[in-house]
Amino acid sequence: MASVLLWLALFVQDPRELGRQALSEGRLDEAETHFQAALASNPPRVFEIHYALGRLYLQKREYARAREAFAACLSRAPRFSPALVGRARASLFLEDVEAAVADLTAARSFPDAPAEAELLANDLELYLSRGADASPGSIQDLASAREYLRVGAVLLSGGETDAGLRSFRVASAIDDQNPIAFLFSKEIGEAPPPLYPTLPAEFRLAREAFERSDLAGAAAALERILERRPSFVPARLLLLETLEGGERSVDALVQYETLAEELPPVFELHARAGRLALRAQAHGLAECHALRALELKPQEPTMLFLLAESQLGAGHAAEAIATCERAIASGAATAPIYFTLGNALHGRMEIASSIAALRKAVELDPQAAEDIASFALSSLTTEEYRSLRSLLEAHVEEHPRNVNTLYGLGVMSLREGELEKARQYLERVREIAPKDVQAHYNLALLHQRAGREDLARESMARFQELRAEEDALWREGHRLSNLRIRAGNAGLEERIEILTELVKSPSEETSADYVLLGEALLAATRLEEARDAFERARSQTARDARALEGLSRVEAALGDDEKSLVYAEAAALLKRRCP
Amino acid sequence: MRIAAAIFLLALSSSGPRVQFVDRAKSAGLEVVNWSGGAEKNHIVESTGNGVLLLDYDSDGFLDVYFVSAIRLLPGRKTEPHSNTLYRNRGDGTFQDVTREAGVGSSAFGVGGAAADFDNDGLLDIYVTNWGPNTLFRNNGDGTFSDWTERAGVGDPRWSIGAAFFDPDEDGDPDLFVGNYIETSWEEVWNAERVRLWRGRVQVLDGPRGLPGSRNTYYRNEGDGTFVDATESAGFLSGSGQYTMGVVSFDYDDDGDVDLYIANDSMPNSLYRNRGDRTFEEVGALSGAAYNADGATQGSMGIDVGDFDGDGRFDLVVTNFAHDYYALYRNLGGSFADDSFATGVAVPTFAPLGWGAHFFDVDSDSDLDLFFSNGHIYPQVDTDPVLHETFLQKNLLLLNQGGKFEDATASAGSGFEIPRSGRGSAAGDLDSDLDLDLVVSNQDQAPTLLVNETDGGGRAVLVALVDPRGTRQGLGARLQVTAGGVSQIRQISSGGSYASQNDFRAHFGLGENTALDLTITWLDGEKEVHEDLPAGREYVVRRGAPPLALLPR
Repeated sequence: MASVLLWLALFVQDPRELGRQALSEGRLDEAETHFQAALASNPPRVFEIHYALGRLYLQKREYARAREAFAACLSRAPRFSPALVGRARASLFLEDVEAAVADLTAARSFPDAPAEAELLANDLELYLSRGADASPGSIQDLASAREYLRVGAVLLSGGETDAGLRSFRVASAIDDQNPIAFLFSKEIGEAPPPLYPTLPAEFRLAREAFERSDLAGAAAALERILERRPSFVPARLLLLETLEGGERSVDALVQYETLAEELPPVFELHARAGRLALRAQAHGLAECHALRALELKPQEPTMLFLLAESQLGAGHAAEAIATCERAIASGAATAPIYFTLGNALHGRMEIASSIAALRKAVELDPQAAEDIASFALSSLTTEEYRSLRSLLEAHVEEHPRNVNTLYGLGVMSLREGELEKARQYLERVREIAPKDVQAHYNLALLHQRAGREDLARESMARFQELRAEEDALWREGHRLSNLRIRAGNAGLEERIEILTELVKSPSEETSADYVLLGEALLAATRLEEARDAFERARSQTARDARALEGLSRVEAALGDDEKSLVYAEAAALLKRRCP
Repeated sequence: MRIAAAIFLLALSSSGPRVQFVDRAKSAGLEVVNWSGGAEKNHIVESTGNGVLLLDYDSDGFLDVYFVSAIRLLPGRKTEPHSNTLYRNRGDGTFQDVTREAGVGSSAFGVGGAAADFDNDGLLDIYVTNWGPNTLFRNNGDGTFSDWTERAGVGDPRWSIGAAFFDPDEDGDPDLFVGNYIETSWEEVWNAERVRLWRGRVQVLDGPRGLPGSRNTYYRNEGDGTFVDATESAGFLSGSGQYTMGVVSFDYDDDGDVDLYIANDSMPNSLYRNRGDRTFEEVGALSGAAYNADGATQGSMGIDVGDFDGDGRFDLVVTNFAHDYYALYRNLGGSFADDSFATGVAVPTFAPLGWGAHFFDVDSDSDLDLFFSNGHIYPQVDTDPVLHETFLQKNLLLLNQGGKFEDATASAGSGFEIPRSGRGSAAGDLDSDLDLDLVVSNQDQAPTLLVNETDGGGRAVLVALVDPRGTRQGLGARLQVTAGGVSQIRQISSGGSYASQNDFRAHFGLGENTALDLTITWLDGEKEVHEDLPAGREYVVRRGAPPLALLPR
């Protein structure tokens, strides 16, 4: 009975399937055992087993055995073109280019040739021509090994050996089954990455964790992968998405730095890193990335905008203005550029020019009105506002809930004495944004002018209620500000006490308050508490730099120099400025 | 040749007046430095500076100048008192310091003041606002003054800034409104630290928001040389305690009595409507003149009243803080609209920090132009390269071009070229040439005397009133001049601008017109009309009598 059961078990578990499963999970030796067992059973379509063994041996980097296995496959199925491709691949790894060319030519001659044949042939052409005919464009798909091959070939042909090498290293890391990357790397003395057969399976699991929003699990899995294969860019990209999704923007920026060091110059990388740095208010870093991106695509409008915004954010209005003017002169005049120009001019107190730029922004894209503060909209009611008014009217037809535009039109109408129109616009604002202080105020004045005293009083009362709420917020902010001042003047113990109370009242400054508390606790050598405070301070913006520096000091005091260095480097990154 | 010259001259004359002001303070002898606090300005009391009063104290027909000074603060908690200074106008373009003889010196922490004939004896008296008890100097008529404060009961002890005499109850005695700012003490001043951040960049003095506001005071004149504090009964406690600075009285709703408008720093401005029964109702919010166009409060320092658009209603202009615009409120007939942007006032006034404000006809072309005295309160702005603000600032001149204002500062002459720490300013005809000049009190600096030397300006008249039945000077009276089909209105008022006093005479520019009709509406509503008066004169109009044209001096 038992032997019958065993026979049945063996019969049910097809060794080919077991082999494929083991292969997909990177258990190569086990896969080989299963495939050999399958062969021994003299199954039908035995050529498939030889083919599977060929692929296995490619993964094990036993290229001669791989070539033999593919040959065995072809002897039983001469028209099985995937085996031709596989044998060509093995030949290339064995540096037998002639044999590879012959196999690829044959494979491509079949009408049902796999796409892989064409791709490998193109890659080979790239190698043989040394990239002479390769497209010099920037990498579009950061996870594509082929893109890195192409760019690497171009860099090499242009004499940029170091950048080319980085490119090939990444290509090999992404696809260590691609023989062209191997050939290029070998030429410049680079060894292939160590065997990592379970990489595809592990990456798949990490991606599944990300997709079910287990960000911590995904991040941990990806970090393990990157420890073994640091240049595996798809894992780093997914890790970036994971960190950004978990609002760990500073950690993501660190990853971008690592990536930038590993990769050749890639526009898309710097563009993404720059945008993230801007969101994290690391303006200097954003500026650096924008400049690097612009080295690759000099007049690219989104990067000019990013550069201008980061310069403005760093307080360098003059530079921001110059960048905007450069964009405009080069024909990259977009509404965001004019909007940034307007803000930069406003910061320099060049109000008339600021208004002109903001007006231009709205002319180019009335949606910009959404972003323009009320001051600027009010300022638009100068001599030529009538043409602008019709633009805003058209815009609000398509975006009937755009509060800023509605308000601006309300105010314009009020000033023209068109009370009924003004009322309609302002009441619409009030509907959409019931706490819009300005709408209530202007409605009150409007009703007063129209002789509707009761409605005027009602709107004014609501306006004053809302103002009282704003005043209360201001007073609370002022109270907290006074506490901060007291803390600054107090002795250490009292300062800790005051700051401990202060952080219980959430405000825009809470993150900075936690930093102050951390610093005080650190001075009092209450290290664990200091660490906790600095961790709480980490709000994933440039303000993180002080918290990171604090954490660095805490870890150093606790004797963990490695951690201390990691924090210090992250802090330095956030404070970076380009020369 | 002759034809060419004629064409050339025609071209010149048709190009309009050339507005020019020259600073003649030094050559005129106006050299006193008006100190206020220390150099670093750690406390707000050191930053708000001083006002200047123009009045003909000796009735010799020439306008004299009274500068108010505070106390200089030095390191080590040392103080250096500086007296207020009275300069007598000699009538030859120079002034003489007569402070000691006149007895109007003071070692108080002076701020500004107002003038009026409080006792209707035909002589102008001086009320000085201080941080500490204010002072009323009664004019003795012999070139000297007496300190009448205690006797009159008007020594408001708070930190007072703007003040104005007016006659809201039309009993013929000027009442007094005093605007008070913040409650503070010497200890707080000495211990002050610059703890606030301005625009996130530099550490500056604290306030006013967050500091305790001080209540205003309304003194009702009893007619016997004394006043009573009628603040509460008159309804002035409502809206009080809101950091009041500028004070003006005018009839905003054309109902024949005078109302009151006060500028409150960082708080809603207040408009007090005279109910006609010795009480007032605060109506600022619904009037549209409490907030700016977006319902926001502004810095609000100095005020002036004038009909800039020629519609027969008095409009308002208010100076504000840096990084905000000065507000021009157009009077719509009992309510106001913030038309600062539409009239071109907002843009050139956004960067500077304003104090004195004046509607006045610079070039006598029959419309009202604008002047603002400027100066920052944070010396620290000079240290920051990102802010693009400066501590010392140029004054501003905006010319009225058909109801819209154009910035003419750059071409207005050497008087506008030098940036200073400007504070209170006053407008008046100091050189008796029938155009308006300006005096600016500069904080911690000598003053500026902007003599109007506009070339090719129009003809003008000056009108002074004497009202034996009301307040002697005719406070609250409305004057209307019509010439060449154009009508203009002015009012007689005390105080105004920032903590200052303008020339009481009403100035009208007439363009090319050689004659005018003058209508005076006295405060009690009685009207008198004087037709076909020649232009180019100064007139004194005593109620019920024909205007007296003064001989040119």
